[in-house]
Amino acid sequence: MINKLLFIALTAVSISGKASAHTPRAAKEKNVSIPESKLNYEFVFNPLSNRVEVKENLSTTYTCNTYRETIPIAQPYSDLEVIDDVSFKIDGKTPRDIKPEFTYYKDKDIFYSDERICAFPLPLDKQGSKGVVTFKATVLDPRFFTSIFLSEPYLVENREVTIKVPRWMHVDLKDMNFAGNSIQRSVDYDEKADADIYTYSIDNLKPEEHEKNAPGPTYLFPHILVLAKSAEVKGNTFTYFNTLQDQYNWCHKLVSSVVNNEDVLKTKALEITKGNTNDIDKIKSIFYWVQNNIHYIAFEDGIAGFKPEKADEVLRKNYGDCKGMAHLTKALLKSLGYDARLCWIGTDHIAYDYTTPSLAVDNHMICAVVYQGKTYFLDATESYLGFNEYAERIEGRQVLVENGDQYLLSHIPATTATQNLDYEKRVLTITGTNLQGHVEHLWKGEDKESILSSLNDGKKDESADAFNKYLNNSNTDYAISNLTTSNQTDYDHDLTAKYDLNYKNGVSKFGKDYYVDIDFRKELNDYTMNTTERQYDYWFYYKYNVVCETQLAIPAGYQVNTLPPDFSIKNNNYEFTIQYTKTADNVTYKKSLILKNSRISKAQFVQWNADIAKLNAAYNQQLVLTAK
Amino acid sequence: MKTLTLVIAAFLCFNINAFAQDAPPADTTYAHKADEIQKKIWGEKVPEFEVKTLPASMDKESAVIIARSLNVELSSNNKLKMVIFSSSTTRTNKVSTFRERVKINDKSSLDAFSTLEYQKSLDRTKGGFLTKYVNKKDTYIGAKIIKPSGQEIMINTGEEVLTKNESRDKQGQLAIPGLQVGDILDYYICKIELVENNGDEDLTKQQKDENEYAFILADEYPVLSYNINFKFNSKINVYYINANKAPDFKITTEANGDKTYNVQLKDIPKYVDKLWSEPFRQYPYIRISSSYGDKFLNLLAAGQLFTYDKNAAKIINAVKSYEAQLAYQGTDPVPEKLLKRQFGKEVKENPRDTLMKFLYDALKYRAFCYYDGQNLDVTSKRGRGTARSLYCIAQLSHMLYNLNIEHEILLVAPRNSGSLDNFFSKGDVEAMIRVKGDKDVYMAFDDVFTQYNEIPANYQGEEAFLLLPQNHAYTAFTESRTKIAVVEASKNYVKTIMNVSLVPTNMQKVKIQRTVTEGGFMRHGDQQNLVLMQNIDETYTDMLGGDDLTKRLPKGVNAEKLSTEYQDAFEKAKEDLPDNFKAEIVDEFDQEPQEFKDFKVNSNGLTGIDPVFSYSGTFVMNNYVKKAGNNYVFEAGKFISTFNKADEKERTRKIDIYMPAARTLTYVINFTIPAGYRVKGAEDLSHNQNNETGTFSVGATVKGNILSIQVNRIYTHNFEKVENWPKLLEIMDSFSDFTNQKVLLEKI
Repeated sequence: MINKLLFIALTAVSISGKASAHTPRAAKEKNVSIPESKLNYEFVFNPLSNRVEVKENLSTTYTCNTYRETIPIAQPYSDLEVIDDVSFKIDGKTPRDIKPEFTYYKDKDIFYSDERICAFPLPLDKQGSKGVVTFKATVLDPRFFTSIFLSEPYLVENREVTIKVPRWMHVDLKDMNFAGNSIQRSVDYDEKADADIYTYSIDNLKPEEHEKNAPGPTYLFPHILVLAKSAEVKGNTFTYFNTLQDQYNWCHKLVSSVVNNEDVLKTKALEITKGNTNDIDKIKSIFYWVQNNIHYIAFEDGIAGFKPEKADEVLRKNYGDCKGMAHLTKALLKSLGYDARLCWIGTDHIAYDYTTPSLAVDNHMICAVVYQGKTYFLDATESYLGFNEYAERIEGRQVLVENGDQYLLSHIPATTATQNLDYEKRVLTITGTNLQGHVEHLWKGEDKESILSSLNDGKKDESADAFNKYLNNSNTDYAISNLTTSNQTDYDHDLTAKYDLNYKNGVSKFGKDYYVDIDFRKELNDYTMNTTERQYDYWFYYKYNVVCETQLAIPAGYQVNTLPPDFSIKNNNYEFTIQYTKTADNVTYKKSLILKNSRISKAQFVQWNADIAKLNAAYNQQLVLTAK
Repeated sequence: MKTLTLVIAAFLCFNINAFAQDAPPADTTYAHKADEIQKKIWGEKVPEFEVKTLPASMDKESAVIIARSLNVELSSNNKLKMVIFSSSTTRTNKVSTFRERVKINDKSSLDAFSTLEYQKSLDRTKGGFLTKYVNKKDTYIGAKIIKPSGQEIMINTGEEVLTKNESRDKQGQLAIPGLQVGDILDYYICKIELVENNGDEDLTKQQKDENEYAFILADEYPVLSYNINFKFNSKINVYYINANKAPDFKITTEANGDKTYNVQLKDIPKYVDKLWSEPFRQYPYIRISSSYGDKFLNLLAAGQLFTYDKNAAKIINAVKSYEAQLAYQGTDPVPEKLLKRQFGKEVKENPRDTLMKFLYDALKYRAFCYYDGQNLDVTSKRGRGTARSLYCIAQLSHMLYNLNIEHEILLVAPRNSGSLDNFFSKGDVEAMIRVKGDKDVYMAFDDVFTQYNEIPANYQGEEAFLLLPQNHAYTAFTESRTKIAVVEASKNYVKTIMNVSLVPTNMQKVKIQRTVTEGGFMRHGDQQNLVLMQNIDETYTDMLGGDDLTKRLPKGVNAEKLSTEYQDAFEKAKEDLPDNFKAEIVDEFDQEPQEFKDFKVNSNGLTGIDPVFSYSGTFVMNNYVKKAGNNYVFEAGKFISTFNKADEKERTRKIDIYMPAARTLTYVINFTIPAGYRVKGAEDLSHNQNNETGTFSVGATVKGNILSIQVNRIYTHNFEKVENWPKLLEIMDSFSDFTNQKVLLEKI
């Protein structure tokens, strides 16, 4: 899929040649800026190929404000967006020793056979140097001309975007994230061309920041969503995405054109489900088998990543991307007679939904199976997540479900924090200054997925040590013995672990009094948001649900001198509670941290920080036991 | 795939037919060649590559390299080329075949081995009809999977994806289809290269590096069998070394003079004990290199030193190269100019120590504060650069002789490379000068923070060749060996003084006013992060009477403009400083400071002998004070940094310990006891652990409202034999235990 969003991520790509000097983020904003840029787009009809195309003429001037810097230039392209020409000059001259490289885009060792970039370094050799870069490109199918991003990693002092739309072309332009920016839009009619010219004038657009755990770029940066609907030109009628049905028709045609070897798939499906006696178990077996045996490698070949690989090919290769894995899951289930379907979905990385029919809306494919009136969604790329459990990135999202000639628009079931759980129960006694006893853990949902991922994806000879270090926080005084776990390859059930504990010097003794720091883990301790530097909301990976109980036996001859006060913060987004209860023989500490909403908006940072400070203060309370 | 791409980078692959004939076969298409190579390799019946089952004990490993082989065939000859006049070029055929058979036991190794990346073809041929210099590389791959059932599945390499597809540059990637956990993967990468040039001097650095091979006999995975085979034609000079008891090559010579070097290795273990280790000292390894042409010229030009010979003649040959450099290398005019400017015509009237120090600093100034105009990165990254010691010492030696200062030249094998007896190439040694006197004076060029009379930490305790020139023309030397002294722990120190108080408005937070003073080896790391290049430039310019920046730029540039750019770059680099100070605190305390202010460098440690580097700052920290009813628990131990005690596995060590330096770390914590409280448990803080490897001691006193805690951690040596590991652990355990200690602030 052509994804102009790639360009934003790509600006950090390292290119051979002179690398840009390392400068702090703030310095980069000032050192290089864009004094001028003109991006021109025009819908044209190509009589030779008998199709509507979009011609792009993209010119950007970069200038170096203080000292020299080499910046990476990268323009994405693919089979459906071709680069016709690239030219660049620095201070009026074309450098002979720099050649644009046309290569495949690589991201974290996953490569996209369809996504490519034209990249080269642009050395701005002195203060005031100006580099002018021009790309001419053609989008061969208006469906793939989905967005125009207006911002850059550099200050855009002045940018003009023009979109020339002939009256025979029907397209909607939606302005996204314009608020708070100086962006003026006007429309003029070109009588001679019988076309509307939309002009966007942008002034002083601040540089994009890329922060960890921030929402995706479609939530943040100003851009124009281009919704190509249809065209009537030269006696031709082209239907793009007038409606969601059109979009579905197009996507469905692509996937329907893939012909599988049904015999191979059925044989495999029977092999996988051998021994299963009921339908749900069979469905689960298929799902877990694909999760466990098909290696995720993104080979997005063909029609810019919308056409899946043949299911039997995915099976043969033992690898696939999300489309391939979804297609295989569906094909295996169908071969056993189940009502399995492909589904298109946009993860939470994307701000839109199917109310705006566009290829920009989805970036993922999963499978659905309808069984006894209930639809179960199966995302095999989420290794270790169980059947009927849904990852944060898709939960609650709109999903376009295959349904013959018509589509079904549904939603992935919304999850609450209760889907996930990181539970720990400790039953302890004090021996000398050691804490001894027994501990049990239970993990569910995305917490389970996280633990299993670490256990299974690391080297097996290091896995036990790694788990031990996780459980004891790399503190060898927290000595764990007799560790047992539930089956680590069974994703259908919760993961549990049990062990004996001897925590050396786990309590402090002053005189005869014991001072106990009862919470060993203190999750979210000091987890504050940087209110001065952080620009965007903070999104946690999923809705955390942490419950910890510690039951501490009061030593004989002792009583509770100080029981720390309970603590509670509850609001719509999160709940933090700490509770102490005592009986004659025991003190029980119970902590619960629930993120009901995995997203903390910037407006909430101050409150969040204040609440975290209170949580810290609660963590830093000690239980005191004195001799009677 | 990390492993495989590393392998590709390390091991080149060349033409199988190098020795057969000059004329190419009739059909030279890529596909035909690939097919030919595949038949040859899969047709070879090598027992190690037939293994299909492994002992059950190996199942616990992430992967097992059942067999690995590298076969390199290199042939170089002179060829006449007709241009206007005839000239001789060197034509080199090189074929390298790397093959590996690996058992995949988990998802991690499946990830690691599931894709192959390679330079499929690269054509850098230059010139036209008569003047063409061929430079071509082609890579051929093959793979097969052996399932647990024994079934062999040949992989269709046609499923590759070309990530670059230019006519003269193709890069490929292949995801191995059908590979699963439990399978055996057998694959090969064969590279065929034909290069024509004007001899080894014409080779690029990359080409020269690709002619050098290093095999450390330890690996990420266990390797059951490893066969290394090199074949060279008679015109190639071969140099190799088998170090730390690595097996020797078996050398055979054919009738035509071609020589084969072969070694068959078994059961190569995994790397162990990564903390404080030096692989080139502690694992067996083999290095082999080759060159073509005149032997002596090759010695100088390529930096290759000698043919392998176990006796002392080898070591003497190794030194000859540097002696020759001393003879032919001229001197840079800058230090001499500065010397004259500083001392006038009567330079030699000045005390010897003064002159030596000036010259040393001037050479350093020349190395670090003259700018190439290309790299404007003057952030902390620049402070991590190092000078070329061999070049600088040669310069300094000439200058010292001009001042009639007799001196010795030391070629030392730093501990991060092979030992002196395993000297292989000039890059393995660093140079230093020693001037004998009442107290010996050392001059070494390492990073910019290395000072006059400072021995870099990785030279200390190591052996060196000692060269004493017999004349100032460097035509004769007295050669011997010596050992570099180890600087005592007290000279490599960090002293941290922290004045700590509780924040009145929130007594669970502490305010820390911290001053850190560092000397010797211990200052370098923090200097690199906290001393700006601008400070360095200004300090040395001022000290040495150096030129304005405009005169320290390359010729032919607009000096005024470039100088302005550098000045701007200096200013920009200052913006890094607050983050660098903060990062230092995070590193030390394992959490972010709050209300961080008043941070500054008190003394930049750039001048003088045994200079002191000092910096300070004030900040607030959380989590050091716990409320306990009316009282508070003060976590005194946490102030001296977090430290994870060695776990069970780490407590058993098999190899010696190479510490970064003998060093002393002192912490003084002056804690203001809040009014209305008294300290309980201070006496329990005191501790003393002492043995031959080091000391950990704590003393605590309460005077008035100040609780003073002094902590000393000393590592006495920079090297310990593995037998002393338990003693070292005692020191480390004591330190770790202390970090958990607390005192009570009891309400009066």
